[in-house]
Amino acid sequence: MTFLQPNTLPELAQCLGEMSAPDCHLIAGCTDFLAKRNNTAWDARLLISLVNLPELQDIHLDNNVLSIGAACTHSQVEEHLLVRQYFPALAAACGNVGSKQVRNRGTVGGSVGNASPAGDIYPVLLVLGAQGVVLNSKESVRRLPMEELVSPQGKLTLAEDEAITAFELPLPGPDNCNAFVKLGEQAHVTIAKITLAVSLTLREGKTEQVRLALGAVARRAFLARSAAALEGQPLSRDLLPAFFAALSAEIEASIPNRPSMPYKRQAVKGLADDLLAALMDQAQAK
Amino acid sequence: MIVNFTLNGRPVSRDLPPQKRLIDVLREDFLLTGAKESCGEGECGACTILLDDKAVHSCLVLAGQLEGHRVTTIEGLAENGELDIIQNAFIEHVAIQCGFCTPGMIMSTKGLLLQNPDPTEEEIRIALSGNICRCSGYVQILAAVQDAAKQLREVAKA
Repeated sequence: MTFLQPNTLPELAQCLGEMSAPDCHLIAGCTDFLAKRNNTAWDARLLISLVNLPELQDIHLDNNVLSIGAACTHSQVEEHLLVRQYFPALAAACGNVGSKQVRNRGTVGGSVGNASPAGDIYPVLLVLGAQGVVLNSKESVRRLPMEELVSPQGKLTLAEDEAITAFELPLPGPDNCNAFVKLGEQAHVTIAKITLAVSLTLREGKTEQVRLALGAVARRAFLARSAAALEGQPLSRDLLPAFFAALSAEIEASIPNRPSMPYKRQAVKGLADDLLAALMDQAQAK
Repeated sequence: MIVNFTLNGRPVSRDLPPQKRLIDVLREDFLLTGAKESCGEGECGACTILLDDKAVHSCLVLAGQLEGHRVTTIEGLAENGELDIIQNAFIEHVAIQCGFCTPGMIMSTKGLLLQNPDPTEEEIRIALSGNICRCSGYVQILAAVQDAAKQLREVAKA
Protein backbone atom coordinates (compact mmCIF):
# COMPACT_ATOMS: atom_id res chain seq x y z
CA MET A 1 0.00 0.00 0.00
CA THR A 2 1.18 3.51 -0.82
CA PHE A 3 0.38 6.29 1.63
CA LEU A 4 0.75 9.86 0.41
CA GLN A 5 0.24 12.97 2.48
CA PRO A 6 0.56 16.13 0.37
CA ASN A 7 1.27 19.43 2.15
CA THR A 8 0.46 21.83 -0.70
CA LEU A 9 -2.05 22.02 -3.56
CA PRO A 10 0.60 21.34 -6.26
CA GLU A 11 1.66 18.26 -4.27
CA LEU A 12 -1.99 17.20 -4.06
CA ALA A 13 -2.34 17.56 -7.85
CA GLN A 14 0.73 15.40 -8.32
CA CYS A 15 -0.71 12.77 -5.94
CA LEU A 16 -4.04 12.83 -7.81
CA GLY A 17 -2.12 11.70 -10.90
CA GLU A 18 -1.52 8.40 -9.09
CA MET A 19 -5.22 7.78 -8.54
CA SER A 20 -6.48 4.97 -10.68
CA ALA A 21 -9.38 2.89 -9.45
CA PRO A 22 -9.90 0.46 -7.85
CA ASP A 23 -8.66 0.68 -4.27
CA CYS A 24 -7.36 4.25 -4.40
CA HIS A 25 -8.88 6.57 -1.85
CA LEU A 26 -8.77 10.17 -0.74
CA ILE A 27 -9.04 10.18 3.05
CA ALA A 28 -9.29 12.88 5.70
CA GLY A 29 -10.99 12.45 9.08
CA CYS A 30 -11.77 8.78 8.28
CA THR A 31 -14.97 8.91 10.35
CA ASP A 32 -16.75 7.21 7.44
CA PHE A 33 -13.80 5.51 5.77
CA LEU A 34 -12.58 3.57 8.82
CA ALA A 35 -16.00 3.14 10.41
CA LYS A 36 -16.82 1.06 7.31
CA ARG A 37 -13.54 -0.88 7.31
CA ASN A 38 -12.63 -1.46 10.94
CA ASN A 39 -13.56 -4.90 12.19
CA THR A 40 -12.70 -6.37 8.79
CA ALA A 41 -9.37 -7.03 7.13
CA TRP A 42 -8.91 -4.30 4.56
CA ASP A 43 -6.23 -3.10 2.22
CA ALA A 44 -5.87 -0.37 -0.36
CA ARG A 45 -3.52 0.27 -3.23
CA LEU A 46 -3.21 3.99 -2.49
CA LEU A 47 -4.33 6.32 0.28
CA ILE A 48 -3.97 10.08 -0.11
CA SER A 49 -4.44 11.75 3.26
CA LEU A 50 -5.64 15.35 3.24
CA VAL A 51 -5.20 16.18 6.92
CA ASN A 52 -1.80 17.85 6.64
CA LEU A 53 -2.74 20.29 3.92
CA PRO A 54 -3.21 23.80 5.42
CA GLU A 55 -4.83 25.20 2.25
CA LEU A 56 -7.64 22.68 2.65
CA GLN A 57 -8.16 23.57 6.31
CA ASP A 58 -8.62 27.29 5.84
CA ILE A 59 -11.76 29.45 6.00
CA HIS A 60 -11.48 32.89 4.47
CA LEU A 61 -13.56 35.69 3.01
CA ASP A 62 -12.68 37.00 -0.42
CA ASN A 63 -14.84 39.36 -2.48
CA ASN A 64 -18.03 38.58 -0.56
CA VAL A 65 -17.50 34.86 -0.98
CA LEU A 66 -16.72 32.68 2.03
CA SER A 67 -14.36 29.87 1.09
CA ILE A 68 -14.39 26.83 3.37
CA GLY A 69 -11.58 24.33 2.85
CA ALA A 70 -12.80 20.79 2.18
CA ALA A 71 -10.70 19.36 5.01
CA CYS A 72 -12.12 21.75 7.63
CA THR A 73 -13.64 19.74 10.46
CA HIS A 74 -17.29 20.13 11.40
CA SER A 75 -16.17 21.70 14.71
CA GLN A 76 -14.01 24.24 12.92
CA VAL A 77 -16.88 25.29 10.65
CA GLU A 78 -19.45 25.32 13.47
CA GLU A 79 -17.26 27.59 15.60
CA HIS A 80 -16.19 30.02 12.86
CA LEU A 81 -17.52 33.52 13.51
CA LEU A 82 -18.34 34.33 9.88
CA VAL A 83 -20.16 31.02 9.48
CA ARG A 84 -22.20 31.74 12.60
CA GLN A 85 -22.93 35.28 11.44
CA TYR A 86 -23.94 34.61 7.84
CA PHE A 87 -24.76 30.92 7.68
CA PRO A 88 -26.57 29.78 10.84
CA ALA A 89 -27.92 26.85 8.80
CA LEU A 90 -24.38 25.57 8.23
CA ALA A 91 -23.35 26.17 11.85
CA ALA A 92 -26.44 24.23 12.98
CA ALA A 93 -25.77 21.34 10.60
CA CYS A 94 -22.07 21.09 11.51
CA GLY A 95 -22.88 21.40 15.21
CA ASN A 96 -25.13 18.38 15.25
CA VAL A 97 -23.20 15.87 13.15
CA GLY A 98 -22.37 12.73 15.15
CA SER A 99 -20.59 13.17 18.46
CA LYS A 100 -18.01 15.76 19.48
CA GLN A 101 -15.27 13.28 18.53
CA VAL A 102 -16.75 12.90 15.03
CA ARG A 103 -17.15 16.67 14.62
CA ASN A 104 -13.54 17.20 15.73
CA ARG A 105 -12.23 14.86 13.07
CA GLY A 106 -14.77 14.42 10.26
CA THR A 107 -14.55 17.01 7.49
CA VAL A 108 -17.15 18.86 5.44
CA GLY A 109 -15.50 17.70 2.22
CA GLY A 110 -15.72 14.12 3.43
CA SER A 111 -19.38 14.53 4.27
CA VAL A 112 -20.21 15.81 0.78
CA GLY A 113 -17.77 13.46 -0.94
CA ASN A 114 -19.22 10.34 0.65
CA ALA A 115 -22.61 11.56 -0.60
CA SER A 116 -24.70 9.74 1.98
CA PRO A 117 -28.41 10.43 1.35
CA ALA A 118 -28.56 11.34 5.06
CA GLY A 119 -25.52 13.65 4.97
CA ASP A 120 -26.24 16.86 6.88
CA ILE A 121 -23.92 19.23 5.04
CA TYR A 122 -24.98 18.78 1.41
CA PRO A 123 -28.59 20.07 1.74
CA VAL A 124 -27.34 23.21 3.50
CA LEU A 125 -24.72 23.97 0.84
CA LEU A 126 -27.41 23.33 -1.77
CA VAL A 127 -29.82 25.99 -0.45
CA LEU A 128 -26.98 28.44 0.18
CA GLY A 129 -26.02 28.30 -3.50
CA ALA A 130 -22.52 27.02 -2.75
CA GLN A 131 -20.07 25.81 -5.36
CA GLY A 132 -17.54 23.04 -4.99
CA VAL A 133 -13.99 23.94 -6.04
CA VAL A 134 -12.43 20.96 -7.77
CA LEU A 135 -8.74 20.41 -8.50
CA ASN A 136 -7.36 17.82 -10.90
CA SER A 137 -3.99 16.17 -11.44
CA LYS A 138 -3.01 18.82 -14.02
CA GLU A 139 -3.54 21.56 -11.45
CA SER A 140 -6.55 22.95 -13.27
CA VAL A 141 -9.48 24.10 -11.18
CA ARG A 142 -13.19 24.04 -11.97
CA ARG A 143 -16.22 25.07 -9.97
CA LEU A 144 -19.39 23.01 -9.78
CA PRO A 145 -22.75 23.92 -8.26
CA MET A 146 -23.84 21.44 -5.59
CA GLU A 147 -26.50 19.94 -7.90
CA GLU A 148 -23.74 18.89 -10.31
CA LEU A 149 -21.24 17.75 -7.70
CA VAL A 150 -23.47 14.86 -6.62
CA SER A 151 -25.66 12.97 -9.10
CA PRO A 152 -29.38 12.37 -8.43
CA GLN A 153 -28.41 8.75 -7.75
CA GLY A 154 -26.26 9.98 -4.88
CA LYS A 155 -22.81 9.53 -6.40
CA LEU A 156 -20.00 12.06 -6.51
CA THR A 157 -19.60 13.06 -10.16
CA LEU A 158 -15.85 13.77 -10.12
CA ALA A 159 -13.23 12.06 -12.26
CA GLU A 160 -10.77 9.80 -10.47
CA ASP A 161 -7.97 12.36 -10.66
CA GLU A 162 -10.11 15.13 -9.12
CA ALA A 163 -10.63 16.26 -5.53
CA ILE A 164 -12.88 18.80 -3.83
CA THR A 165 -10.60 21.41 -2.28
CA ALA A 166 -13.14 23.93 -0.99
CA PHE A 167 -16.73 25.12 -0.96
CA GLU A 168 -17.47 28.72 -1.92
CA LEU A 169 -20.52 30.37 -0.39
CA PRO A 170 -21.72 33.76 -1.64
CA LEU A 171 -22.44 35.99 1.36
CA PRO A 172 -26.17 36.59 1.65
CA GLY A 173 -27.69 40.06 2.01
CA PRO A 174 -28.75 41.48 5.38
CA ASP A 175 -32.37 40.37 4.86
CA ASN A 176 -31.46 36.72 4.40
CA CYS A 177 -32.49 34.06 6.90
CA ASN A 178 -31.19 30.50 6.69
CA ALA A 179 -31.82 27.53 8.93
CA PHE A 180 -31.32 23.79 9.20
CA VAL A 181 -33.29 21.27 11.24
CA LYS A 182 -32.85 17.54 11.58
CA LEU A 183 -34.97 14.66 12.80
CA GLY A 184 -33.17 11.57 14.07
CA GLU A 185 -33.83 8.85 16.62
CA GLN A 186 -32.41 11.02 19.38
CA ALA A 187 -31.37 14.64 19.84
CA HIS A 188 -27.61 14.04 19.59
CA VAL A 189 -25.26 11.51 17.97
CA THR A 190 -27.88 10.55 15.45
CA ILE A 191 -28.22 9.89 11.76
CA ALA A 192 -30.86 11.99 10.03
CA LYS A 193 -34.22 10.46 9.15
CA ILE A 194 -35.31 13.75 7.57
CA THR A 195 -33.57 17.11 7.29
CA LEU A 196 -34.80 20.48 6.09
CA ALA A 197 -32.54 23.35 5.07
CA VAL A 198 -33.86 26.71 3.94
CA SER A 199 -32.55 30.05 2.78
CA LEU A 200 -34.87 32.98 2.10
CA THR A 201 -35.01 36.76 1.93
CA LEU A 202 -37.40 38.82 4.05
CA ARG A 203 -38.58 41.94 2.27
CA GLU A 204 -41.06 44.21 4.00
CA GLY A 205 -41.97 41.37 6.31
CA LYS A 206 -42.64 38.91 3.50
CA THR A 207 -40.62 35.95 2.29
CA GLU A 208 -38.93 35.90 -1.11
CA GLN A 209 -36.48 33.71 -3.01
CA VAL A 210 -37.14 30.69 -0.86
CA ARG A 211 -34.75 27.81 -1.42
CA LEU A 212 -35.69 24.70 0.51
CA ALA A 213 -33.91 21.33 0.56
CA LEU A 214 -35.33 18.04 1.72
CA GLY A 215 -32.64 15.62 2.90
CA ALA A 216 -32.53 11.94 3.94
CA VAL A 217 -35.59 11.23 1.78
CA ALA A 218 -34.37 10.52 -1.76
CA ARG A 219 -30.91 9.24 -2.69
CA ARG A 220 -29.67 12.80 -2.74
CA ALA A 221 -31.01 15.84 -0.90
CA PHE A 222 -32.92 17.95 -3.42
CA LEU A 223 -34.40 21.41 -3.84
CA ALA A 224 -38.01 20.95 -2.81
CA ARG A 225 -41.06 22.34 -4.61
CA SER A 226 -42.63 22.80 -1.17
CA ALA A 227 -40.63 26.03 -1.01
CA ALA A 228 -43.65 27.55 -2.77
CA ALA A 229 -45.67 27.14 0.44
CA LEU A 230 -43.31 29.60 2.12
CA GLU A 231 -43.06 32.11 -0.74
CA GLY A 232 -44.49 35.62 -0.49
CA GLN A 233 -45.85 35.27 3.05
CA PRO A 234 -45.24 36.89 6.41
CA LEU A 235 -43.18 34.50 8.57
CA SER A 236 -45.49 32.95 11.13
CA ARG A 237 -46.59 29.67 12.64
CA ASP A 238 -49.78 30.08 10.56
CA LEU A 239 -47.78 28.81 7.59
CA LEU A 240 -47.47 25.38 9.18
CA PRO A 241 -50.61 23.63 7.82
CA ALA A 242 -49.94 24.53 4.19
CA PHE A 243 -46.17 23.93 4.52
CA PHE A 244 -46.72 20.55 6.14
CA ALA A 245 -49.28 19.52 3.50
CA ALA A 246 -46.86 20.47 0.71
CA LEU A 247 -43.93 18.61 2.29
CA SER A 248 -46.05 15.58 3.02
CA ALA A 249 -47.25 15.38 -0.59
CA GLU A 250 -43.72 15.88 -1.89
CA ILE A 251 -42.34 13.07 0.28
CA GLU A 252 -45.13 10.76 -0.91
CA ALA A 253 -44.35 11.57 -4.52
CA SER A 254 -40.57 11.20 -4.07
CA ILE A 255 -40.51 7.79 -2.40
CA PRO A 256 -43.94 6.20 -3.01
CA ASN A 257 -42.75 2.64 -2.40
CA ARG A 258 -40.26 3.14 0.41
CA PRO A 259 -41.35 1.44 3.68
CA SER A 260 -40.37 4.58 5.61
CA MET A 261 -42.61 6.85 3.50
CA PRO A 262 -45.75 6.71 5.74
CA TYR A 263 -43.59 7.64 8.71
CA LYS A 264 -41.67 10.40 6.97
CA ARG A 265 -44.71 12.10 5.43
CA GLN A 266 -46.17 12.45 8.93
CA ALA A 267 -42.99 13.11 10.92
CA VAL A 268 -42.04 16.02 8.69
CA LYS A 269 -44.74 18.06 10.47
CA GLY A 270 -42.66 18.47 13.63
CA LEU A 271 -39.61 19.31 11.58
CA ALA A 272 -41.51 21.90 9.54
CA ASP A 273 -42.61 23.48 12.81
CA ASP A 274 -39.00 23.51 14.10
CA LEU A 275 -37.88 25.16 10.85
CA LEU A 276 -40.49 27.92 11.09
CA ALA A 277 -39.52 28.51 14.73
CA ALA A 278 -35.83 28.80 13.80
CA LEU A 279 -36.63 31.24 10.98
CA MET A 280 -38.85 33.38 13.22
CA ASP A 281 -36.13 33.54 15.89
CA GLN A 282 -33.70 34.79 13.28
CA ALA A 283 -36.13 37.28 11.80
CA GLN A 284 -36.83 38.71 15.26
CA ALA A 285 -33.11 39.07 16.01
CA LYS A 286 -32.61 41.20 12.88
CA MET B 1 7.07 4.71 7.27
CA ILE B 2 8.80 6.76 9.98
CA VAL B 3 6.20 8.82 11.83
CA ASN B 4 7.20 11.71 14.10
CA PHE B 5 4.66 12.98 16.58
CA THR B 6 4.31 14.08 20.19
CA LEU B 7 2.93 11.54 22.63
CA ASN B 8 1.97 12.73 26.10
CA GLY B 9 4.35 15.66 25.83
CA ARG B 10 7.34 13.73 24.49
CA PRO B 11 8.51 13.70 20.88
CA VAL B 12 8.47 10.18 19.47
CA SER B 13 9.60 8.70 16.18
CA ARG B 14 8.52 5.20 15.14
CA ASP B 15 8.52 3.04 12.05
CA LEU B 16 4.81 2.24 11.67
CA PRO B 17 2.59 0.85 8.93
CA PRO B 18 0.69 3.99 7.77
CA GLN B 19 -2.66 2.20 7.84
CA LYS B 20 -2.27 1.02 11.45
CA ARG B 21 -4.91 2.59 13.66
CA LEU B 22 -3.85 4.93 16.45
CA ILE B 23 -5.63 2.76 19.06
CA ASP B 24 -3.43 -0.18 18.01
CA VAL B 25 -0.30 1.99 17.91
CA LEU B 26 -0.97 3.15 21.46
CA ARG B 27 -1.77 -0.27 22.86
CA GLU B 28 0.71 -2.42 20.93
CA ASP B 29 3.66 -0.17 20.14
CA PHE B 30 3.64 2.06 23.22
CA LEU B 31 1.90 -0.31 25.69
CA LEU B 32 -0.50 2.48 26.66
CA THR B 33 -3.63 0.45 27.34
CA GLY B 34 -5.78 3.21 28.85
CA ALA B 35 -7.67 3.87 25.61
CA LYS B 36 -10.06 0.96 25.07
CA GLU B 37 -11.53 -0.43 21.89
CA SER B 38 -15.17 -1.42 21.99
CA CYS B 39 -17.14 -0.71 18.80
CA GLY B 40 -14.31 0.12 16.41
CA GLU B 41 -16.55 2.44 14.39
CA GLY B 42 -16.69 5.73 16.25
CA GLU B 43 -19.90 5.09 18.15
CA CYS B 44 -18.95 4.27 21.74
CA GLY B 45 -16.18 6.73 22.62
CA ALA B 46 -14.14 4.23 24.69
CA CYS B 47 -11.01 4.90 22.59
CA THR B 48 -11.20 8.70 22.91
CA ILE B 49 -7.86 10.52 23.13
CA LEU B 50 -6.85 14.11 22.44
CA LEU B 51 -5.33 14.95 19.08
CA ASP B 52 -3.99 18.52 19.16
CA ASP B 53 -6.14 19.05 22.28
CA LYS B 54 -9.38 17.90 20.57
CA ALA B 55 -11.22 14.75 21.61
CA VAL B 56 -11.20 12.22 18.75
CA HIS B 57 -11.66 8.46 18.33
CA SER B 58 -8.27 6.73 18.22
CA CYS B 59 -9.88 3.88 16.27
CA LEU B 60 -10.53 6.31 13.39
CA VAL B 61 -7.05 7.84 13.06
CA LEU B 62 -4.32 6.23 10.98
CA ALA B 63 -0.68 6.16 12.08
CA GLY B 64 0.37 7.88 8.85
CA GLN B 65 -1.82 10.84 9.72
CA LEU B 66 -0.01 11.51 13.01
CA GLU B 67 3.01 13.23 11.45
CA GLY B 68 3.62 16.49 13.30
CA HIS B 69 0.59 16.17 15.60
CA ARG B 70 0.17 15.92 19.35
CA VAL B 71 -1.49 12.92 21.00
CA THR B 72 -2.56 12.91 24.64
CA THR B 73 -3.88 9.75 26.26
CA ILE B 74 -5.29 9.16 29.74
CA GLU B 75 -1.75 8.17 30.81
CA GLY B 76 -0.64 11.69 29.90
CA LEU B 77 -2.94 13.24 32.50
CA ALA B 78 -1.28 11.70 35.53
CA GLU B 79 1.95 13.66 35.70
CA ASN B 80 4.64 12.02 37.83
CA GLY B 81 2.16 9.37 38.91
CA GLU B 82 -0.25 11.89 40.45
CA LEU B 83 -3.82 11.73 39.21
CA ASP B 84 -5.11 15.00 37.82
CA ILE B 85 -8.19 16.91 39.01
CA ILE B 86 -10.61 15.28 36.55
CA GLN B 87 -9.45 11.77 37.46
CA ASN B 88 -9.79 12.50 41.19
CA ALA B 89 -13.24 14.00 40.69
CA PHE B 90 -14.40 10.81 38.91
CA ILE B 91 -13.15 8.77 41.90
CA GLU B 92 -14.68 11.08 44.51
CA HIS B 93 -18.10 11.06 42.80
CA VAL B 94 -17.99 7.31 42.19
CA ALA B 95 -18.40 8.10 38.50
CA ILE B 96 -16.81 4.74 37.71
CA GLN B 97 -18.41 1.32 37.83
CA CYS B 98 -16.73 -1.23 35.57
CA GLY B 99 -14.27 1.43 34.37
CA PHE B 100 -14.17 0.46 30.69
CA CYS B 101 -15.65 3.74 29.44
CA THR B 102 -13.81 5.87 32.00
CA PRO B 103 -10.62 6.77 30.09
CA GLY B 104 -12.76 7.89 27.13
CA MET B 105 -15.14 9.83 29.39
CA ILE B 106 -12.22 11.57 31.07
CA MET B 107 -10.50 12.46 27.79
CA SER B 108 -13.77 13.88 26.40
CA THR B 109 -14.07 15.88 29.63
CA LYS B 110 -10.47 17.09 29.27
CA GLY B 111 -11.15 18.20 25.67
CA LEU B 112 -14.29 20.04 26.78
CA LEU B 113 -12.66 21.83 29.72
CA LEU B 114 -9.62 22.89 27.68
CA GLN B 115 -11.98 24.67 25.31
CA ASN B 116 -14.71 25.72 27.74
CA PRO B 117 -13.70 25.97 31.42
CA ASP B 118 -17.21 26.83 32.59
CA PRO B 119 -19.63 24.61 30.67
CA THR B 120 -23.36 24.47 31.34
CA GLU B 121 -24.96 21.14 32.18
CA GLU B 122 -26.29 20.98 28.60
CA GLU B 123 -22.82 21.64 27.18
CA ILE B 124 -21.37 18.83 29.32
CA ARG B 125 -24.10 16.44 28.19
CA ILE B 126 -23.45 17.31 24.53
CA ALA B 127 -19.66 16.97 24.91
CA LEU B 128 -20.08 13.52 26.49
CA SER B 129 -22.93 12.32 24.29
CA GLY B 130 -20.45 10.32 22.21
CA ASN B 131 -19.27 8.33 25.24
CA ILE B 132 -21.45 5.41 26.17
CA CYS B 133 -21.47 3.94 29.70
CA ARG B 134 -22.89 0.43 29.79
CA CYS B 135 -23.21 0.51 33.59
CA SER B 136 -25.29 3.70 33.23
CA GLY B 137 -23.63 5.96 35.77
CA TYR B 138 -24.28 9.16 33.86
CA VAL B 139 -25.61 11.12 36.86
CA GLN B 140 -22.38 10.64 38.80
CA ILE B 141 -20.30 11.35 35.69
CA LEU B 142 -22.10 14.66 35.20
CA ALA B 143 -21.50 15.59 38.85
CA ALA B 144 -17.81 14.65 38.53
CA VAL B 145 -17.36 16.84 35.44
CA GLN B 146 -19.11 19.80 37.08
CA ASP B 147 -16.93 19.43 40.17
CA ALA B 148 -13.73 19.04 38.13
CA ALA B 149 -14.58 22.16 36.12
CA LYS B 150 -15.11 24.12 39.33
CA GLN B 151 -11.84 22.91 40.85
CA LEU B 152 -9.92 23.68 37.66
CA ARG B 153 -11.35 27.22 37.57
CA GLU B 154 -10.25 27.73 41.18
CA VAL B 155 -6.73 26.49 40.36
CA ALA B 156 -6.61 28.82 37.33
CA LYS B 157 -7.62 31.81 39.52
CA ALA B 158 -5.07 31.04 42.25
